[in-house]
Amino acid sequence: MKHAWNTASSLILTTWAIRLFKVVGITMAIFAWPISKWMCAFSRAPGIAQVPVLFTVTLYIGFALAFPCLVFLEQLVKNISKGQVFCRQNIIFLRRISWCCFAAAVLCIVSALYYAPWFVVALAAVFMALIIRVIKNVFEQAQKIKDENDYTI
Amino acid sequence: MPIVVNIDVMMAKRKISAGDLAERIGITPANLSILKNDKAKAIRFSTLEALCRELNCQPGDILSFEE
Repeated sequence: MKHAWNTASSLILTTWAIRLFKVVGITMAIFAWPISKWMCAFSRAPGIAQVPVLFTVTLYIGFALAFPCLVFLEQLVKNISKGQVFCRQNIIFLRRISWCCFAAAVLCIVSALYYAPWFVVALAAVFMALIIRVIKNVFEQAQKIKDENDYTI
Repeated sequence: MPIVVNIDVMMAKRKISAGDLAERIGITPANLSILKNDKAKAIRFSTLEALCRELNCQPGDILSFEE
């Protein structure tokens, strides 16, 4: 039987990838303390051995920001599967995801005070937030065009 | 919007129902309702042409500008 890769298959794959990420996130939140201790033992950064508590705090706050992003992403994909692409709700989801990324960047900048490599993660988070913000702006314009088209008789 | 659509006035004058007019000009009753209720953002020349033909009127009889 011939199976063609199409939009529906892609959306299913995206949904499952998001769900997998949710499981990874929850697992990391549950094992935040052992992960932090392992990270501190593994890293050779000076003074790192004293900060597993700070690592754990960063991981928990990061999880609190990442999990809502995954929920919004899943709802966004669900809306797209229903054919509701350029709607108000999707724009709200994208805006929230963007702000979560900005908040994660702030968290990483603060965390860089005790472990400098967090700064790299902060840069990545800002970059991601900017990309999502631009996509949100595109969605906003697309929604206006769609409204204009829908109400042209 | 200051542009007002007076289709209902012309429909009453010509004694034609919404469903009948929608069918004659080839649009859905839902779209005709959008037009009648001033919710439309634009009107195609082809739709205007069909309306004028079926209602036997001029574009100015259907559309008016009100401040």
